[in-house]
Amino acid sequence: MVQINADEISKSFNGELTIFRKFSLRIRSNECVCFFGPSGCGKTTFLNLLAGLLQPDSGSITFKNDKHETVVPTAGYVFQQPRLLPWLTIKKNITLVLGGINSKNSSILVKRMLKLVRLPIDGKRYPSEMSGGELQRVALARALIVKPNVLFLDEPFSHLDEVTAAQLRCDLLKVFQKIKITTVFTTHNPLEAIYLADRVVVLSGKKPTVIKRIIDTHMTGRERKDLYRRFIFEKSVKRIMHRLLA
Amino acid sequence: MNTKKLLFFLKFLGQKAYHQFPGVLSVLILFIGWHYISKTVPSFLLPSPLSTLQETYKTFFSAEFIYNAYLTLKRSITGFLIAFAIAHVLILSSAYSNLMRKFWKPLILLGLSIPATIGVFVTVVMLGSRGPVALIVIILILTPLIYLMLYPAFRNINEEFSEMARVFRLSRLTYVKYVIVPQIAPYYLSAFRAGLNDAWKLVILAEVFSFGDGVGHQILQYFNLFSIRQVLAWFISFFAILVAIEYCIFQPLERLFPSYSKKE
Repeated sequence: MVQINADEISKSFNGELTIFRKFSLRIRSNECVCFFGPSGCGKTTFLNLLAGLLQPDSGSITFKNDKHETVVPTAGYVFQQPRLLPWLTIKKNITLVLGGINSKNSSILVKRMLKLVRLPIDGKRYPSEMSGGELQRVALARALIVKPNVLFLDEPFSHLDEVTAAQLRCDLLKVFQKIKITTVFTTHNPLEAIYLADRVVVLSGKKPTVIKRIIDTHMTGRERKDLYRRFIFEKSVKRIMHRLLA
Repeated sequence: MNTKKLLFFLKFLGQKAYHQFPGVLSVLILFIGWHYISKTVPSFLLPSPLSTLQETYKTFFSAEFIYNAYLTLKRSITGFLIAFAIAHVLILSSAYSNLMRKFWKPLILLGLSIPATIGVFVTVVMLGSRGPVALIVIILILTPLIYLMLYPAFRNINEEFSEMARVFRLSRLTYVKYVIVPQIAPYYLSAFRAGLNDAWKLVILAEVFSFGDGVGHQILQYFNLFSIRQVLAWFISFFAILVAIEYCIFQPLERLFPSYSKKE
């Protein structure tokens, strides 16, 4: 259980393009926070700052446990593209993050993780032999196998077709219900934000980026599912009507 | 059961023959062409393939050939390794600093445009025929070539995979073994192949002009005696060693490294 404190973060690129100026946010333990905003508003930059892939120009990011002690988090990251090594099998790609592909009990762990992300395969296939949706499930399994206390997801379903993305969203929600992890994810999709997150942080499109609004969703799992079904239904009806009218 | 085994064996042979057929056919056409041309010209200009192969067999197992081939190979490999090391210094400095890359660029272009014969002449004039001519020529000509072949390997390392490795805190050994090596291995194999092939050609050229020993010098001697059969026999014998290096070292290495492109 880890909470994240971002205090007065400033970040600019090449000293010119200021993305964040004294940006602060607190993410509670086991909370799922979504960053929502237009392209280029700094969603991925903030996620990379939290994951340690980028360093802030000023300010600090701290991870604290329940006793308010600063800890080094075990992070899982699901990128926009799955970023699986094409020369390794699925099993080896997953076990690689455990400190080498020949780690003990890896087969059992991999099977368990693939089952968790609803991908019943033996792991001997190569990434080139799988679909986009399957690859993203593998990426999720890889992120979860390290038993992370912080999970980052960077627009994980943005390049998938709507049907696959919808299925993956449902599965991800089930995973969140089974495993409690502090989760930060970014999306363009408002429905995805409301469906998955406990809190949605809406970012402005102007530079430097500021928080426009924070929405607490406060929904139970059933409410989320109902909302999702209704949205999908309305979307399909709208599409059919549009076609008929055209 | 035996019939099944026989059928399986015949199928295996058939598959092998099918895969090897184009290569065997091209060599066969070369020999047939050589045979017919050798019939139309005097034997001192082009000996028949059969007599050349007989001479090759004798040459290959002679102490003289083994000694000279050893010298030529030693010079080729030493020169290649030195050029390889120097190219790495240039590559690493270029990878870390754009200024260094700009600094090396004109020198690399100059090195690439030096014809091998000019390199040998100048080195022989400057160092004398007994100096380290072969080494210097190889270093001058191969270093820019290896630089050009290997620099893209370091530039094209996938940054996304490196980010993934950083996020999941892969150990340095795991990162190098599973993320970096598969990406740069194909470039290294190509550089090794092309570099060694060019190195022995350059050494033979240097030996023709400078040394008193080596395969190049022996070929020159037989050329002065107008013995084309011996020239071809020495060439084919040395070529056989290089083919053995290709099949015994490079091809197993190619299978050993999981290629980046194979599974993409």
